[in-house]
Amino acid sequence: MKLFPVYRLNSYSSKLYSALFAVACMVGLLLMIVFPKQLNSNPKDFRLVLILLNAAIYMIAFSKERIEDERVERIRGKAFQIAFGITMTTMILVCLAKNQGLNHVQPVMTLEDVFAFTLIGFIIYFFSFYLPLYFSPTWIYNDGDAAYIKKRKIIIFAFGALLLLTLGAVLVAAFGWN
Amino acid sequence: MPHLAGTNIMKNTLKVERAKLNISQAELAEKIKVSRQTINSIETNRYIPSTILALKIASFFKVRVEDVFWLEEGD
Repeated sequence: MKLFPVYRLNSYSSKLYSALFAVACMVGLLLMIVFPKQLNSNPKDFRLVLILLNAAIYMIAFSKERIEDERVERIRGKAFQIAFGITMTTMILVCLAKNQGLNHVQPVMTLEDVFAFTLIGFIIYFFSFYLPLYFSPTWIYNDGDAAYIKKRKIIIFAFGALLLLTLGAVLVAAFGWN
Repeated sequence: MPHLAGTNIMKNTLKVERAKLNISQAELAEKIKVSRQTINSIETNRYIPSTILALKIASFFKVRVEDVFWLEEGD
């Protein structure tokens, strides 16, 4: 039985294009946040790029690995479990904090809030899936040579760092913590 | 007969069976359509395969599943 019978996984090659698109979106978002006046960026553009980034990361999340066997599917399932749990808990805690407990100060979340949370979910998924897959000595998935694995680790590390940086900037922009 | 109560560890003779046929992890992985690392994880008892995969492995070696996989009492 497949773990994800509803969601068909995209091909392995589509992951590369999705990653490139995600990097472009992240750079765009960071530029919009850092240079809002110079780029004449408005909240509508910001939301659009945030939606596109979510779509790109969704594509990466639902792309196959080079060899997508039952073990990889099991790690994927665990990663989604972790990501869902942490995201839902964080969302509930933030909503409670924003609403001063159950007082309903801000009963409706903004679009930025929603996409910031989905971004958090995808980022947690990204780390809980790729870190065990490529970095954990118990889960390590090195079906290539040493040079291939090293290159892979560098790409994942750089992409992960950019994701975290973007998330930080989006959170600052979304929640106005500056 | 293994003790079925309490914690059990699934052990296997995958490495031995491979050695009998003189095939590498990569060759076995290719035959049963999994990654080489999955075979490695099973051999080192870090991953418990599904029933389907266990049956495929046993079928490949032309032995019964319980000849390759068995339960041992854990700590």
